[in-house]
Amino acid sequence: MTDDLAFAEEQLRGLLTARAAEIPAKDLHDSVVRRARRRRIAVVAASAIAVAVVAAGVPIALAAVRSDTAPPPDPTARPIPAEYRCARSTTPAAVPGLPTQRDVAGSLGDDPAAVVAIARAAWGALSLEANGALDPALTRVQVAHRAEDGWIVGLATGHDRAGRLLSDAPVVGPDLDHLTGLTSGWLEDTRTTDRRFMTGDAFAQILDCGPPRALVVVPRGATAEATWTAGVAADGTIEQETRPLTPRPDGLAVTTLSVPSTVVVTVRVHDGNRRLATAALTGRNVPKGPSRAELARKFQSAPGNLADRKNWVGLVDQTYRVYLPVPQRDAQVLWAGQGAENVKAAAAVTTLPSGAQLLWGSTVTWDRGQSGVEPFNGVIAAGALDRTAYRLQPSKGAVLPGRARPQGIFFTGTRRVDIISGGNTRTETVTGGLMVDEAATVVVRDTDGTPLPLVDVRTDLPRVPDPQF
Amino acid sequence: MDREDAEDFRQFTAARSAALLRTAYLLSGDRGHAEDLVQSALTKAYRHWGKVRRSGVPEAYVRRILVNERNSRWRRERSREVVGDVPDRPGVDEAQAYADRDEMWQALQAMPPRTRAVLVLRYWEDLSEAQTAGLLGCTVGTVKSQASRGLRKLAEVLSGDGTPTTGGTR
Repeated sequence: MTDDLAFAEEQLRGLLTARAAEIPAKDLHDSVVRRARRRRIAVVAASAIAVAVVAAGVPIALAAVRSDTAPPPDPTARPIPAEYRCARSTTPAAVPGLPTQRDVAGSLGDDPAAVVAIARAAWGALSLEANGALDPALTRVQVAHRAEDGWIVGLATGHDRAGRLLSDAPVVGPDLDHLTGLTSGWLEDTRTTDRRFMTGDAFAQILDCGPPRALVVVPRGATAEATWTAGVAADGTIEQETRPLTPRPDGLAVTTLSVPSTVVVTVRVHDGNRRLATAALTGRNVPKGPSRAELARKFQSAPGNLADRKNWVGLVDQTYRVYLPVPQRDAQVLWAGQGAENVKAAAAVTTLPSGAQLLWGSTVTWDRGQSGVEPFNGVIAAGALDRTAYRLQPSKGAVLPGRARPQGIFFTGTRRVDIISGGNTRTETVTGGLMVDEAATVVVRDTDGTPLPLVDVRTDLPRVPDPQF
Repeated sequence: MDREDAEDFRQFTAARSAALLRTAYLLSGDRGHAEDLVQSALTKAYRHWGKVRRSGVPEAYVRRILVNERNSRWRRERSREVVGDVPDRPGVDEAQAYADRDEMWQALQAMPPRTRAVLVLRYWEDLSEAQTAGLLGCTVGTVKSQASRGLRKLAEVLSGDGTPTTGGTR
């Protein structure tokens, strides 16, 4: 194997380890059993309903359609601007067998022409997502709505004969003649009936066709909002913008997201602290962090007892997880290394335009065949880096080879460090940082002997929010 | 399912859900899809747990369902891109926007599912070439060539020949 391939394998192992560590332990037993039972119940229920309907000849009662006042279409929507190429240029063809739709949410829910147009536009995406096994008679238009700017927004679902959800497709376009069915809306849960939305169901999606817009369905009692990180002030404050998404009485909210293309916007539906649905859209101009090649170079010359290149893979990986709307420059690795207990730690900084800095890194633990990479990031105020020492420890739940939680200590320059343990003090003079394996009080001293404040990076620094959650 | 099978299934999911979730995440690149994949695989296994249990290698059985399920979904997703009214710029793109800027991760996600599965099974699960071939239903030679091809692609990315960043939603 060539050096390049060996290096790639090494990097890949580190990447996979780091990524896998993001997934928290979770026992799926209950959800799997519920899912298996629900499918059985759905089949039985659908059969029973079919028998009852045929026997009684009574149509299923359906709720009334809703309506509200919609603004007129925006004439500037024609012709379709180049950036809206996702919108079709031709009217979707008729689809034989589409059912008459009722109980459709949205301002156009009672407009048969709009509902039919949405059903036709959605059909291709619905059918493909269902792997071609969808009967047009079993599609449902859930949402038909005219947005504030005149664009049409819809949502359709496809079901099997037992009512189970096979596919879902949002629909969007500047007018009824130019609707596009989008794939992979991915409703949050497997539906077991063909009703519109079951009580408590939530839906969130950002339609990236035309102006980005949120399409959410908010259950009664829940709330929805769009959030994004707008910037970082010099004092280290992370500027977070929030815009509530106010639902109509039927629970639907469709809102254009007028956000810069440099941000990642997240739409959440939640009931208190319980997250019901989330979607995120990465802007097309989100600045990149430092490149892997640059970081690789920095790590090779970083202070610390770096034994092999795997040490920095987890750390490098983490910087790509931090979405900031501003560029990062001057990447600097403070220290990367390990202690006697084989717990590894690393920390690096980049500088933001305001002068504030992003501190990021990870700990890597390995014991009895189990490994864990725990990343962190935090923002520090402009000018604070040289006047502060930072401490990073594996979490209390981490699998550790020893009994103590080792401490990674980081700072700039060469410093005197006092390690006070069991009534004894030992002093070391080190550059960039060190790993303290035992439970100890650590004092990092400035050049004049003054103790530097020791900041815990996981608990004491503002963390850049993860748009995924 | 009898009580003994039910208890065995409970113990299996308690012990192995996390590992399966991680593998599914590495295969799919998406947390939500990963959980759905594992739930789907476990649900299929649950229906025949007695048989799965008697096989003596329940995890290998579930893992095989998982990989097949992922590959099957990928084929459906790919067919969407070819047929139908596909926008020039995907509207609701299931590409993992979360990972867009990580070129190596992105390169891994862009690989065909079999190549990615080979890399994940060989270098994350640490399966041998023969075990990987058995699980994927292919020859050892195919595993070797896929692994080599995948590593070569990653080596290109590491050398600076990265993939472009795109917007996306999930």
